[in-house]
Amino acid sequence: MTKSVPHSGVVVDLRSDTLTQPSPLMKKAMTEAPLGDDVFGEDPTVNALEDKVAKLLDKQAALFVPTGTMSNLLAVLTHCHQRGSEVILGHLSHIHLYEQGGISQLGGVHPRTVQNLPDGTFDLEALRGLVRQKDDHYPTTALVCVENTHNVAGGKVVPLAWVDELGATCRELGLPVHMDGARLLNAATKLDLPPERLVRRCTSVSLCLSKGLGAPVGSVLVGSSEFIQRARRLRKAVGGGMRQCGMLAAAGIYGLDHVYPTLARDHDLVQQLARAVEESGSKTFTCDPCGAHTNILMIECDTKKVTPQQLCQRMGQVTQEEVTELRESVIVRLLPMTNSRARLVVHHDVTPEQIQSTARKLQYVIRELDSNL
Amino acid sequence: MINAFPTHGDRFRSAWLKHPVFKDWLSRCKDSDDKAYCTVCNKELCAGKSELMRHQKGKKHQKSMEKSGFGTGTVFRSRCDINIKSSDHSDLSTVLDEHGISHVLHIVDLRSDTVTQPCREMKSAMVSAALGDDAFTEDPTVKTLEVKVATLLEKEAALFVPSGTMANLVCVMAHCWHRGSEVIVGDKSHINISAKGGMAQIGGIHHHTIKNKPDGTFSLDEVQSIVRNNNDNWSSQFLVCVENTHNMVGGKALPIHWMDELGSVCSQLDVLVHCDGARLMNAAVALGTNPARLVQSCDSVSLCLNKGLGTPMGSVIAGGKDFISRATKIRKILGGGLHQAGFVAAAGMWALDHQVPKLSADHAHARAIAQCVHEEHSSAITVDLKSVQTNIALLHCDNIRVDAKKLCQRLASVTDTESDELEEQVVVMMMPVTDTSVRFMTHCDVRKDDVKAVIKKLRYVIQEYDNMMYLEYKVAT
Repeated sequence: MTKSVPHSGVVVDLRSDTLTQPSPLMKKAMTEAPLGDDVFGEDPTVNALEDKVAKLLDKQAALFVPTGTMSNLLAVLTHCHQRGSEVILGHLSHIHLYEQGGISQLGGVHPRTVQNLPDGTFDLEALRGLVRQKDDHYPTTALVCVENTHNVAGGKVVPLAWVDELGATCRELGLPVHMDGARLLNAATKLDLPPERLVRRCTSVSLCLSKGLGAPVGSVLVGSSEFIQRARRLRKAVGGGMRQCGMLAAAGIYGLDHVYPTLARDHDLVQQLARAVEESGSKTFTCDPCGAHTNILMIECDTKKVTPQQLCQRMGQVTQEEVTELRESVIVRLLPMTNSRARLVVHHDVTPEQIQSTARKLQYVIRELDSNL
Repeated sequence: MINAFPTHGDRFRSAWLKHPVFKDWLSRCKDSDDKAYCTVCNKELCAGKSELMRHQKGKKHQKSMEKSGFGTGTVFRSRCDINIKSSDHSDLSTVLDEHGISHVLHIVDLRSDTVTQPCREMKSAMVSAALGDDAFTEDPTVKTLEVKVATLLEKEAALFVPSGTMANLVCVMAHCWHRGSEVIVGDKSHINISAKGGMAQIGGIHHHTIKNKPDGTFSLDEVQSIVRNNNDNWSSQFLVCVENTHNMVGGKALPIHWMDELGSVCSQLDVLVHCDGARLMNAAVALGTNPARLVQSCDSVSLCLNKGLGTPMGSVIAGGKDFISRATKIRKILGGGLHQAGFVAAAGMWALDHQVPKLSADHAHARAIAQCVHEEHSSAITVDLKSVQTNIALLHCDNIRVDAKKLCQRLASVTDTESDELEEQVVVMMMPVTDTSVRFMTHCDVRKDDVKAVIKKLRYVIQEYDNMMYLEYKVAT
């Protein structure tokens, strides 16, 4: 690899959409929000956010929580409230891979994975086959989880027809469905549908405020009144009861009102990057522009020649030759996601100019790495 | 002003169940989202807010409420219905009572020091804080706060968490890392009573409760006995938890010599010590010492920022580097890994710099209120003045003329006679903690004028209860 030089230019951070920072207008909303003690149920801004999100997803009630991890944890543990419960979820789901096995460690719930297909769905016949019969050898299937958009699949929007069919199947099986909708509004934007349509067949939903919507903190869990009442009690037990958190809820309200309508921009910018990778013509680094539905792009690396770690490392450096040719000094931060893929995520703190620089840098680095092989 | 109870047409809203005008009698209709149910009239209603208000004001409903034991008079139970027309921290609020009549009230909320709201200077610090993603450990303000608290408590490292409950849960789980670990905790501790059994339910940890003495301590002989008896069967890692100040015994600061002795006993037994220091700074101010001294013999400490220190949320735990490393992992699995948490950490930084010196004023206010109760020499409501060490005091009700719930209701309501005599409408909010004990907490949002108003109100109400006995006596003779 050619020698890197100290960097004094632009840093484009595409590691995650959780990096977004509150804008001045969002901060204004946060500081002006009326507050109260939410543990007493008296924060009017939190109450307003919860009502807003419940209405947005056409469910009875909602609960503001500090993180998406807690939202999913509360959902699974509340649905699986009986001893010996089992949850069926995709083998590549965030709940299964990236939440430290919390549902088992903390909740005693047994996970049963079903193979995720490349589009984020799973086979419904396979699902049926995993549902337990009554037998002393077996736990009791209590819940099915689904994720939309699907992170590891590359931010893919799970097909609506499939979600509807999943809902009908689970209804027939007597099973509730929880949707990890951390990036649900990206999915709704892509499909150009009201979000409630995407979750109509789901019993409960987690929706993140701290990702594409740009709030500093927070997630909302949504479901029936009774479900939310039980989840609220559990939230207290895990230490998620915050006090004057209306300041954070206000950021969520602002995000829903002002940032949600702009998500399509993030999707368009991802397409620019996807085209840049595709136009490089490399066989080592490839991506699927049609498969990049939303604000995430996965770059597939031919691991016989180069690893995603190497790509990320090189993108995070500048060389003299690069600066000379591109006439700019740009560092781009992305993350190795799987053994063969690097992920980049576009969000509202990234400008179109930064994306253009990223596209140029990607093409340069791909060419460089290809020529070194 | 955001409308906390938006009406969305004729559909039942869960938020109404918390509304002070509705909460005593309103219920959902099981079969329909378009209907509501009055549990005192046993009647279905249309689910529209104006419909419910109309029903509530009706004579039949008022009679049913009286029969069901809900008192008359003007009652203000929570702050949800308050439309604050003046600026931050105004003493006076214009509110509508349940009859729709407008009142100018002096409201003093002493239910807890968690009700404090961030002041302008604190908000300014929050807005200008440098932020990053703390999930990548890149929030500079969070890092600065953690270093500040670690230094303050003379521990190796610290970790910011969203709540005191999570702080204690994380500490207990991080110490009880191996299967079979056990905890010894006071029977009146917050961890035992008010944390929803989290350490058992979530952490899978077994605990022994040990009787708290009136000063918040417990028997060290009993600790030794529990540890030795258990170790005979199989070895377990034990953790002892203490609470300083101790909430349920009235906000008492644990004696320093007892803390030192506990440390020595636990060290000999190879047992760890965690201090729930939610109100540690109050203890330090009351004892006139630095907080590090109080937790010298503790392996970990949790310190709340959202109580007397006045921040909107947050707590910090402190301990050894390895411990904090485990705690960080546990915080993540519980869902406490916030992203741009520097926004709220900045409030904590500001509070540690500016609020600590004001805690002694809170203690003086609590004492002044307790003093007035003591000087009434009432047999209906008493207080142990010697027990009032910090910002918490417990009032004891005789359970004949008045119990804890009734006292809190009376203090939170204003009668017409009272309004005429006091020439002021004062609403004081306190919290019943047992059938006969009422707790009040002073905090940075309670000022001298508020204390005067509370004293005025308390005197009036106490005399009401004292006169009650006299009147009953007079009728009998």
